[in-house]
Amino acid sequence: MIRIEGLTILFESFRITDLHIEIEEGEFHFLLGPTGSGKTLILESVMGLHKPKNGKIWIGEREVQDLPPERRNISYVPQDLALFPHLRVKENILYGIKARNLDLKTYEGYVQTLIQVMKVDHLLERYPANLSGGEKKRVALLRALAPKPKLLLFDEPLSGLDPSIKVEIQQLLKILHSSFHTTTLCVTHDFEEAYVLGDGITICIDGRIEQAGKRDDVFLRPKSRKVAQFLGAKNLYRARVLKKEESLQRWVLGVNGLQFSMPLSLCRDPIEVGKEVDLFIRPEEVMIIREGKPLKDSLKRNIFEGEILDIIDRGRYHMVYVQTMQGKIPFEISIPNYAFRNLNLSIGKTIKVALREESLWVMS
Amino acid sequence: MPIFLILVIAQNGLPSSKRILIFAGAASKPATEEVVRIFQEKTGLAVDLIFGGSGFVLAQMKLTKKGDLYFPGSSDFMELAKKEGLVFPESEKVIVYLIPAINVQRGNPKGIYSLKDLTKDGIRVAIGNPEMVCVGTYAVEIIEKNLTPSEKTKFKKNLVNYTESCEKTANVISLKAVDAVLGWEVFHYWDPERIETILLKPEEVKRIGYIPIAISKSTKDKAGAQKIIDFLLSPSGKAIFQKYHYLMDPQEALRFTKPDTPIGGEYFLPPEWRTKELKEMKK
Amino acid sequence: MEDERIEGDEKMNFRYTMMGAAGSLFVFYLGLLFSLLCFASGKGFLDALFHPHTLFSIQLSLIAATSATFFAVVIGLPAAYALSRFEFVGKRIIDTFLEIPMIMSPIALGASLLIFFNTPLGEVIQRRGIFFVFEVPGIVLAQFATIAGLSTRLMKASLDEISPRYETVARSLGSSSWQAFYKITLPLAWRGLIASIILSWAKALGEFGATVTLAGAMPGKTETMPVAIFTALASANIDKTIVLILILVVFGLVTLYGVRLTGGRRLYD
Repeated sequence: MIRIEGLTILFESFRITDLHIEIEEGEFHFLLGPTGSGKTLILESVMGLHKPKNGKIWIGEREVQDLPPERRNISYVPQDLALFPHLRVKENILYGIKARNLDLKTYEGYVQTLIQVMKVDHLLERYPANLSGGEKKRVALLRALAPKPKLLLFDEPLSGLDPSIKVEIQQLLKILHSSFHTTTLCVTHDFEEAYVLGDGITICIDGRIEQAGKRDDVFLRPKSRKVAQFLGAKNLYRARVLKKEESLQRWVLGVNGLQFSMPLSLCRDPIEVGKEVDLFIRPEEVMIIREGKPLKDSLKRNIFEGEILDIIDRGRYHMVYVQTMQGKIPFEISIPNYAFRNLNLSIGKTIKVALREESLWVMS
Repeated sequence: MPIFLILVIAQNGLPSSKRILIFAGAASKPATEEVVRIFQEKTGLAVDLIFGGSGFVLAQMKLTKKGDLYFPGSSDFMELAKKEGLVFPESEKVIVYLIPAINVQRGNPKGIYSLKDLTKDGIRVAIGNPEMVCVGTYAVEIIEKNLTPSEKTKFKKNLVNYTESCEKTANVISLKAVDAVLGWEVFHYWDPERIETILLKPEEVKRIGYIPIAISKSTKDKAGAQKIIDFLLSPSGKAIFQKYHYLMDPQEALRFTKPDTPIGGEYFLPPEWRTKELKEMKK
Repeated sequence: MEDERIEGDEKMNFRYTMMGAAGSLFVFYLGLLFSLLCFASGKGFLDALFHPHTLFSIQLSLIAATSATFFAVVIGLPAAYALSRFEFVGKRIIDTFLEIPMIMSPIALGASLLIFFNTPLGEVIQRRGIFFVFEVPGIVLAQFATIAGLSTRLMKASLDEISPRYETVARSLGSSSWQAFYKITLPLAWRGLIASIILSWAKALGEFGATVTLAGAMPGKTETMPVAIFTALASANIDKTIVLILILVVFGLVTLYGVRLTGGRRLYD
């Protein structure tokens, strides 16, 4: 269990006050935020490289904020990996174990397993200069995992990689995490990374924690417009609460004349008639109706007619840009390829979209 | 290095303008500069001065094959210049006389009043390197001929350095690097704030030194060079040197010594003072 | 086709010009040494060559330069590390101060040291500790004073080349600051550091002004090679001067080259 309480960092132009982060044992936690939001500074403070003005840090049972980095039992993988150029891959990997004076024999089996999993056994005698980008990443991960740290720290682990290698490393990280359950804190600006790998997410914008929680909580139920926009929310609208239908237990919201209907229970924040709120739904949660196919209940309440403005082939999925006839509201819809093929869409075509009402999200 | 080249080229580039070049030992720099300035005003002839250690400028004169006059700080280097055929021996004239003496720091903190006091324990003494600085050779002669063997040993124990030039011998007192040197009596006037002269007893002074001048064999203007020598020996020239407290004639010098003390001449340096054995002596 | 040829010529022109500059430097220094050889006459040459004093001066020069460099590194390397890695008040001032020996002429440096030993503190040091004025320790001190600023600067530049990120990772993996420095930064900066040390040593070997002012020119005691060269010239002994210059150059070059050969092998192959 990693706990950060009341962390205050004042450094150059950064002001981070009263930070609270909790990471459970074995959790893969992401600290997500735009570049320049102070994430690296927070990472460095957790590491012990930077002395915070205030605050306590617990790693496991130990209070570590006054300990130097080498005594905190952590491992750090920086963005540029920093593999020791003058040591062979083998020596790089074993560095942490040797530096902490751990018994090599106890770790031998574990390290061997790691090497097999990471497929680097043919690289052991090489020097880092003779490795490819992907190989370097794997060795860096290995080096960090070998001494079985209590906390693993990543700084933008997937940045700068070719897309194909990115996927490969992402898979590797997933496998490693599910195999060894090392508590991990990963800092990045890439929310897709956080979505694929994260168990818990803390969103930090301009030095403030905007939201923290389980991955789905954060992604599907962002607390504010700021967070939603950062998470790449595409279908984000200013809406007004039109009426409350007590009998049906539903709210009716209006955007540009178009009416949306959602259950009372789904609205977490207190709202009332006449209030202005933010309405949002993820592109994956908007369906294009196929005539003749039966519709689920959750999709029946919010159906709109619209015209296809643009279709973009994104390789693994298609983005379809639709504008509603009434209200001229733009929707971005993400459709996986197998579904797309069955729909026979083309630009200019009129179609009907249905919004999955559980995926509607309101922020006040 | 580039500056040296430019100087040489510059000098080469002005053959027609009759400038007289003097290679002078730095020992008499202030006096020499003034004399030359007045000479230039009086006669309108241009004179250039190159100062440095007497041996150093002799080497320069030798290598550049230039110069009209050689004006070293002491007679020894003139002897060397004559031996190497670099000057006209018959043109040599004595300009001023020098008396060897003990020089101490102003205020004489170590209480040195005689030659024997230089053998006291804990005194740091320096003399000019007897192989290249003539005031050093004179110092050795004084030690050899005035101290007993045991006193000599004590003196050698106190001897911490051979200075490499005449001015350096005075400098080490100014900079308080040593307690006493055997230098020239005139050192006091070079730096009255810091140097005091303790005169030797008349019978202790074994030789009177002098500063000579001679015409260099590489001269292109023998007459002009002679004019300068004549001016140095003239009353107005002498008056300037006197102003700087140099001794102008043998009678003045002999007042500090016994009447039969030789002026100049050679002293054969005992081998033990030659630098190579000194190290063994100190062991 | 014509364009290719012209471009080729341009390229060669560029190459030859650059190489020509390098070549002319070499010819310049070689020319100086050559003229020395030509000027020397037989007898005086051999006399000076085999004089026991010459041997003493060579030994003294090598020992003093090595000692001075040793001290310069012992103090300079940690100082260079601090200047390279840490931020602290007065850092820029200290950095500028390192330029003092480069601005001060060597004689000025030597005279300052001499004057220092006249202050009460200087006298106490000499009385209770070591005697520097006109003694061999003075040579080491004078050379140290001359090279310390330069060697610290050079070593700082070498350390600057090595990213602090490596030390950070090493520390996160369990190394203390000392261990991280010793196991990671030092090996990585090794070649640059060696080059800095060699340069400083060479400068110490050729040092004259400060040495002669502080330690004097006592043959058989404090006469290093550069001092001996000056002394020879000051005695108008041209032959001896030339011999000593040639010996200094040969010894210096041989030592430098030797170190470069052995030091350069500590690479990661």
